[in-house]
Amino acid sequence: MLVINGNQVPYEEGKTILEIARENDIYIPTLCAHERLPSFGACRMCMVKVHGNKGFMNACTTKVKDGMVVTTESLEIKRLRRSIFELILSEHPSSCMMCAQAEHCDKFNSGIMKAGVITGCNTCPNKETCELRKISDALNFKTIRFPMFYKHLPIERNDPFFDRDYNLCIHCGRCVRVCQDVEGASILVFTHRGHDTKVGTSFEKPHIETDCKFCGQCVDVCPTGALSARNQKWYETPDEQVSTTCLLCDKGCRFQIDVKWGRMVGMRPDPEYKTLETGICVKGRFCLPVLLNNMDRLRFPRIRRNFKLYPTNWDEAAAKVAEIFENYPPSKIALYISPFLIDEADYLFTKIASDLEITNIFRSKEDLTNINKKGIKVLYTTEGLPNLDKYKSLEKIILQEVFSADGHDFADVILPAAAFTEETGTITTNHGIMTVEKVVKAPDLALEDWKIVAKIAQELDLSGFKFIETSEIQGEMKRLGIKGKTRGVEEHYLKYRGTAIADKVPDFKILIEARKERDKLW
Amino acid sequence: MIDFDTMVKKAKASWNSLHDQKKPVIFAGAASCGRAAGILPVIEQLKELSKKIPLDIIEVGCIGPCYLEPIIGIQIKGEPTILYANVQPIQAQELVENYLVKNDPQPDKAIGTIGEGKIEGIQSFWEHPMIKDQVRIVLKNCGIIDPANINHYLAMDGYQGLKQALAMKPEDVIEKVQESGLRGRGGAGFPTGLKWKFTRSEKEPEKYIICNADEGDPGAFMNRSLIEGDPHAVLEGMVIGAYAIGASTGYVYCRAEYPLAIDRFEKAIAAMKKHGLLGENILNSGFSFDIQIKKGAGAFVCGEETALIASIEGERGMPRQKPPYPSQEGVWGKPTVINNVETLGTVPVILREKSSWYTKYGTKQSKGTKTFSLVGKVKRTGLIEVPLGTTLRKVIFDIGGGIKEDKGFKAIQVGGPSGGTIPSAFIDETLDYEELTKLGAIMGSGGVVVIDEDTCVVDLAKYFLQFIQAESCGKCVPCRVGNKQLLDLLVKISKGLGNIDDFELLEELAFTISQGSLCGLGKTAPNPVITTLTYFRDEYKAHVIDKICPAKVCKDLFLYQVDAETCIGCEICRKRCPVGAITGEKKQPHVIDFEKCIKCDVCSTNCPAKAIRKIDKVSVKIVSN
Repeated sequence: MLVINGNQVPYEEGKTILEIARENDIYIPTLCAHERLPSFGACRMCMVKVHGNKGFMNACTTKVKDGMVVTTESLEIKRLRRSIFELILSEHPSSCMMCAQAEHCDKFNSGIMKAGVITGCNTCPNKETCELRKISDALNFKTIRFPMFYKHLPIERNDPFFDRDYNLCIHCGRCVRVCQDVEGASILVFTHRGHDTKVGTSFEKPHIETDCKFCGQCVDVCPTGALSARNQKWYETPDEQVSTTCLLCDKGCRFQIDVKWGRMVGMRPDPEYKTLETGICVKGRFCLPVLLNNMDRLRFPRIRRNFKLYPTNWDEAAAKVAEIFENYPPSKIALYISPFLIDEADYLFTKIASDLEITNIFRSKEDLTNINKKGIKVLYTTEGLPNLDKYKSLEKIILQEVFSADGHDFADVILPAAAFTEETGTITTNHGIMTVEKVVKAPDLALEDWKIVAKIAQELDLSGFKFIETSEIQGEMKRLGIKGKTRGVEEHYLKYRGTAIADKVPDFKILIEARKERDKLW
Repeated sequence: MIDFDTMVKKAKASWNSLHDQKKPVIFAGAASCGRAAGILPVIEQLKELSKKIPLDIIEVGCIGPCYLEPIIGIQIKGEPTILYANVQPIQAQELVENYLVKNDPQPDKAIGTIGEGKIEGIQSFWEHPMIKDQVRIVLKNCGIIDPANINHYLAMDGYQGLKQALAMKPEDVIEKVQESGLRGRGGAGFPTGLKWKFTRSEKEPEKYIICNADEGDPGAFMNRSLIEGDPHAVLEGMVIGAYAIGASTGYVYCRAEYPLAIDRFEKAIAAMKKHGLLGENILNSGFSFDIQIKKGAGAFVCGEETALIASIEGERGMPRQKPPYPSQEGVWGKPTVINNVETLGTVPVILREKSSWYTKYGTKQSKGTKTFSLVGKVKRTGLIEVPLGTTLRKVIFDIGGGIKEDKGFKAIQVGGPSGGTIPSAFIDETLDYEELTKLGAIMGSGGVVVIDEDTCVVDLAKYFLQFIQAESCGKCVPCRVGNKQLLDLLVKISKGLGNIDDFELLEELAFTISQGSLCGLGKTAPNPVITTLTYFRDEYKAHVIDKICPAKVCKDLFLYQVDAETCIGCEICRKRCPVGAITGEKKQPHVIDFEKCIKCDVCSTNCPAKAIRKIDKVSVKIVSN
């Protein structure tokens, strides 16, 4: 039997008081506890009374036992909690909570603006999601009796991807634990001692000089604004969050993408997807929004007229492709299918190839040597075309890409493709078949790869390409017993389709430049 | 391997021959304390002398009275050893020459004799006023034997306890320790036998025993002296403990600032292995056990058992929440016993003697003896061992000889920075676990700091808090932030900037830190503040309300002034003042400029006429131009 606040509650042996209380909707304030991390017992906010024990016990580490009688709210507990919280706030800028105008300010003032130093009022990157503010509300906190102390630590902006302002740190140790216990990296540790204790790297090295993988897990668990992802810190609360699978390699990591104003503004590992908690890499964690929101995206179909590429509509572009296909024998036509396509798009490409009796299907850069060998005249590429001048036999190039990759300037038709965050479908990864969700709309006229193929097929009067959704394509694949395959893209592959990620993401460039001497970049 | 009895026989023969040999023997107290006092040059001098006069020089541990260091003992065949105190190199040579060559024992310079026989005019060392009220059980061998020589320890009934233990069932060993009533000497006083029992009863077969030698309290040196004087006793206790709980590996966690202690341990462990007292199949009993030494890197908090375990595992020395207790999940997640040096040092005696022999010392709940380091403003400082339940009066006035310069006795601080300040009114209370807890202090490891009337309690509390907040591991909020706030408040009060509301804040902080902290360090950190606030509230009030420091220690609250009538105009103060704040003509009273004075105290300490007074700042109206 377990009694909390006079009520008998169901419980399981081995769980902590905090876990049982949460299961039963009993509120106990916490700051250092985190569901993904081993309990730590540092913030001392979760102090409760256990009948028969002298003093207070912390709920996050005390395991429940049969016959336990727990009190989570009493005057004495409140006094202790308030006092401890007051101590935390005496070292954390708190005017956003304590100011007499705070309520008005939250309601009427605009969101945060870019500012170097966080004064605690309206410039904190974490203001909207700050866990201190939640506890402050719960405890109805209004004053601090202790003198305030600002630590005057320099704001660390010398690393790519994330900024660190340890003046906001409350020493909850979540980042330290996620780095040590989840990632097994131990890059972030507690340094110094006594009141000077702080979180940081050993010997205060910049992260880029350590073995930090920039997985960003520390940023995700930080309850304050101490750690913040540089590119997403100014967006306040996202409008929505959508889960999808990362396509940048075969690992198949699940992400939750923050969407604000119709744009991807940030991402973090999907908390629902526990099996993939670890191993999130820097490409997925930090690069995607910058990469895919890039201004260099292809937005309109273009066709070449008078040696120049002119924007056009899809009907004209598709007709142009159909015309090229009809003017050349299938043996002189080749398709270059990118490993970054979803399974359905990949299937439609093979289907149209077989309908048109095109047998030259390239899947890697090495396959491109066949162009000269077989005297290919038409190349339909979904991954750019590097070293174009090597291929003398080519007469027509059709480029279906997300970015203006190599070969763009010599293409006869440009077909702007949607990125994988802009389409729905499935992808075969090391974890099996996983879904890809449409998170945001593709820019301007850019279209999903499979839709482009279907358009061309219709233009060629081919039957069997009238799909409205990818689920229909999946149905057909299933009927025919066609299974997707992993494409053999390693985690450390540095491109997305034909474009180097570093070319579009400056922070990523900094990372690979700084670590080019190393065997492993992260 | 030779059997134990032969080993002991040999050892006894070697010990006896030391006393029967023709060559005189010099015993030099060469523990860290003796070295600090300057024994090493003395030894050098005597070594030089031994080239002329045949001599054996043996380095022994600390015998107790620090204020008499450096101490040497001279023994000639058939006579007891004569101890001489405060010896300097040249003087030591004279002492030896006079005694050995001229046969003049110089009773006026001796402090006592050790051993059988009597020398005219010299009392037995055991009758010395500092020694006669002590009961030396743990410290029995300290200062007597050569700690680096296992034969000396064996000759003193060493390893008899282990031999007996190995002949018993482990449960019976635990039973015997429980019967003795031995409680943890590291501070909390948890019954040792019970701790062993809990650990033994854990199902996990792999178990560990740790000797906590991370003594860190300011003013405490009991453990260091014991290790340096008698390392085998501690290690024997460890082997017995390991046998009792079923451990096959033990760790000695010793702070790196104790290099001599570590050296003593290393030598002792090597000797034990050589004699079959450690390693595989100890004394042919089938029991195997090994000890590793881990050096602490200088963090006070690593004396806390969970932080100590983290440190051994190579992690940052941060405590973790208990339960699980180390007896359930200790080092490497296995059941672990952690005992203090003194606890382990006591175990061999308990096994060797009858239980009733040990329980005859002490009180009902606190059995046996306890070592204390008696320091501060007391005449006779040093390492002492008394039965638990001895009164403070006996310790301070009989053993300690009273307050230095016969000043007023104000209080004692027991148990280091985690302990409490006990005022002079409780002079007839006793030193034992229960009584100290009742008074708001703790036994701690046993540091006793005597405080006289010249000490300001606010300043004292400030000192301990400064130490604690610097040594906090920084993990939990109440300790890391609370102690800093508490310290800031005390600094504010000591500067005369306090106000009446600060009392409430002090008490609120003390409550939050003691109730909210994670480990023992934080939980006990406000003790000096709580006890001084309880017993010396008026002194706090003087600081806060009257802006006066009654003891004239808080520099912001008093001024130096020359008493014109006492001043002889010798000009010493004027010449010595580092900032030129003093003016005055020869043979005329001098004057101190308040604004220039930096309160370095140089004038006051150097004034031959004692004419420099400290006056309350509030009593002077400073006219500034």
